[in-house]
Amino acid sequence: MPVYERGYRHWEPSGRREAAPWWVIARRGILAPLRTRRFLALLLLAWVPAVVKGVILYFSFQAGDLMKLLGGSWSAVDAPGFFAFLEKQRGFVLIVLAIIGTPLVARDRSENGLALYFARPLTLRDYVLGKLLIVLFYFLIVTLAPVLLLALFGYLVTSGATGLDMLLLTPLRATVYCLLVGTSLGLVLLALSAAGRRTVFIAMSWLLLFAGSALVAKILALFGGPWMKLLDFPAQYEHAGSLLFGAKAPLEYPRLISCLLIAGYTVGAWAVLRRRIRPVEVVS
Amino acid sequence: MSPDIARPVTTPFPVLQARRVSKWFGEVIAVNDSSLTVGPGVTGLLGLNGAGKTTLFKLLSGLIEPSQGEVLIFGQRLRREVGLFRRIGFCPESEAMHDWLTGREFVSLMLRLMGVPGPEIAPRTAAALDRVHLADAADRRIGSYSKGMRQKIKMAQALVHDPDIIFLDEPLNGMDPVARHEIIALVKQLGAAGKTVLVSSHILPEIEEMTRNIVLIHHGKVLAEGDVTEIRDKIHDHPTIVALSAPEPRRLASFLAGRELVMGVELDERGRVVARTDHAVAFYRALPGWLLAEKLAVDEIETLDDSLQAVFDYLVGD
Amino acid sequence: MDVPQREVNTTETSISVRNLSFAYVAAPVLREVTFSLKPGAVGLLGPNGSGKTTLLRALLGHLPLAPGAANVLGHDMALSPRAARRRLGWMPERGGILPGMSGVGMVSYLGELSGMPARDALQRAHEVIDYVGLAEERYRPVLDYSQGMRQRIKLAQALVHDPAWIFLDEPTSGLDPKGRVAMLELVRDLAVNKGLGVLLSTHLLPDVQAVCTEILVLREGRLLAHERVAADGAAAARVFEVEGVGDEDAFTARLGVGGATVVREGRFALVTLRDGRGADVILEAAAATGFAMRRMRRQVATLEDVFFDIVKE
Repeated sequence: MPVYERGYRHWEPSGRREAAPWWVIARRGILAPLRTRRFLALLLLAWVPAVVKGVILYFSFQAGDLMKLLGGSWSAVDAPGFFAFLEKQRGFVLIVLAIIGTPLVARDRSENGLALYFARPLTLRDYVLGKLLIVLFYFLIVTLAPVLLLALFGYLVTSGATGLDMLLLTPLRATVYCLLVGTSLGLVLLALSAAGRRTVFIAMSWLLLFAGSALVAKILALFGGPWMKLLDFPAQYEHAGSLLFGAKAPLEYPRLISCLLIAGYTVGAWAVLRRRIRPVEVVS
Repeated sequence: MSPDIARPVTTPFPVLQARRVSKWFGEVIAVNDSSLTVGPGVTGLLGLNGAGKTTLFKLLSGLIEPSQGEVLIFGQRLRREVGLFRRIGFCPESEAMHDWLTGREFVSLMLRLMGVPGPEIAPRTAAALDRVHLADAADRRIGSYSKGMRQKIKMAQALVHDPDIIFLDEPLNGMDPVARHEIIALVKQLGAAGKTVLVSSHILPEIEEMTRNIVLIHHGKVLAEGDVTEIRDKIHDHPTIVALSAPEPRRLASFLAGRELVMGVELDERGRVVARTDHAVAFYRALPGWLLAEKLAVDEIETLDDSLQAVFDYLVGD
Repeated sequence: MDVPQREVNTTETSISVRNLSFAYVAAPVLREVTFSLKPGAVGLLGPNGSGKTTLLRALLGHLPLAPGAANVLGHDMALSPRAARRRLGWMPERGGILPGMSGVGMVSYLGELSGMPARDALQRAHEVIDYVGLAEERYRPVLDYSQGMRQRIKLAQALVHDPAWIFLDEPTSGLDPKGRVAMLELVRDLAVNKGLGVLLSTHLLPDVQAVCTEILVLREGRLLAHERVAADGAAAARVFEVEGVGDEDAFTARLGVGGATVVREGRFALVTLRDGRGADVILEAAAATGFAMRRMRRQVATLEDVFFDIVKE
């Protein structure tokens, strides 16, 4: 049967609303991983610490000081306590973002897929915004979402004893912090994904950056002093954030330096993205 | 066999022969008990993707060993007689190349590997580069070459040692029309000079320009071998279709309908008389006489389905 | 052939380029290229480095251009390139798939990105996948597709948003003979029967011959020629191409008696008749010498001839 008899019709638009390109990209990227059972299990696992903390909170306010003693920092219902919880989620952030983020741009680049994107009416900003929202979504799911719920739970458990701080200020702090950190980390991760080809190498780079740098900095700090900690990538975020939450500063140099470093990474990541995401490969 | 041979073949053995060759990879049998003989001139190797064409090509050129059967070049088993490799030139499809060498260095490397004496290297290299029309770019690094130029330099290194047998795998890949024209002419020259050239390609119109002699692989077996026209005439389940343009089409049509050699006649949308016959050659021979006797004028005679594409479709189509 | 054409405002479906010049760094890659195209099948030819790729990039709006240089579908590509891309389709040569998606997933996604509502995009994706002949494979991951299937899905994604023009870069690349024929049929159908504009960039003259009615030839950044290639060609009435079996020498001699000259070219004998004589000279010679002719036709300037004439200057 000749192929053309299958018929090519012209499209009659249905009049339904069309979505902005960045939203199309974000929606696809957010919904796709949720179909995998193993990934859903991982997300559930990431919520376990929140559940544990919630349980400890509950019992520490029922059982009194003994529980508070046993629970230690887990039973803290204040801003620094929640900050500590956020930082403890670091491991999940590392893994979840590695799974979500490393292929995001690399896959599109691997088979000249970017040519298909940019033959569409979208800009680089649409593309990056869409991809960034995907990373941000999953970042927030394992950081901000549990914290917000815990804050609400903490307020209810203490019968409002914690006051406005738990209900309003700490959630606000957490939201600002997570959005900023998420955006910065997201851009860095996307830049890594755009810089490489093979997901494996990108994942390794992410691992090195996120966990390896912490280890290296720790070792070097033993010999070279506290300024070696500049190499500790995730610590910069913690250092800057500790100000927002009134927590103890983890590093021994001014927080401004961390903020500058973070700004540097973020701008650098954007520069890499601008170079690597193009309609056509630039062949020298 | 191509009729355009300048020198007679002096060896008593066929140049290239596969005897009951099979190759399997695990459970998959890529080439299944195939035999074929290739002689001087240009031969086209055709087949669908996955039909075993690439595997057969590699078997014939000695790149891989058959699981069963043997490949003989000038009567000797290829892998046993290492010296035979000097008489073979190979132009592969792959793009991986020595980007850091200049074209000239790459081609002369081949001669050095063959142990050609020093003084001969430069002139022979230059000659090969001329043949593929790359003389002006020869001293630039291959890394700076376009895709078409890379193909040409591969061809040059396949020819520089003046081999008797040349294997070309999609040789025109990436070349612009002018370069294609040049290389097709080169291939025809090589065939006319008595070399045995085996060209594997998917682009049938280009094979047709190079040669009428083909080998068709399908499902791991040699389905057809020889001159396209002869093969066509042997395909009996598809009668030959001949279209005639004439000033009086209906008179011509009704006349032909009455001939025994003609199975059926119809008029196509262009007003041509289209006749089907099962005895093509006899029909062709008788036609002029009929036309003159009946005073039927004819502007054009065209056989519609004896192109390589048509033959391919008949043999391979579903 | 009477085929219902989509009703469109003609200015909205044409491509018009005027004095388009472009340089990436210093050396100009395109020099004052000027042409105008209406929907149809157009071949884009030229050697490597002639500026073909750059021209396509310019038409897709990927290059910073001077205003007025390129007007595609009524949009100035220097000012509003994205508006034009809503109705343009692009089939790149290398790669051109999105790993990690199924066939229909990829095509519907790209449809949405072209400005289609999600449900429309999904419906259309299924339709165009049927059209290109991949109905059985639509749910499989595109990474698992063979070369032939990849080329088809690339064509599908170029068509999903119902573009007015599609740009194809070597669409038959890597396809086996069956795949080539199928792809060329699809492309010809789109241009001839479905009213799309098709710009076919390729090195394969046979492909252009099979599909195109117009060609653009570039060399060193300049537009060398913009020619229409008539389907029936300019026939030189007195030169015939003859192919057959039999006693060639006798046939040739007999033709000479009839005042014709014979020259061999490849598998054809080119027979040039004397003024005022017709094909009956050839028929007479064939009948007399028992020469079995399988073809006898007027020599027509093929696309190849036209192309090489253009390029030789």
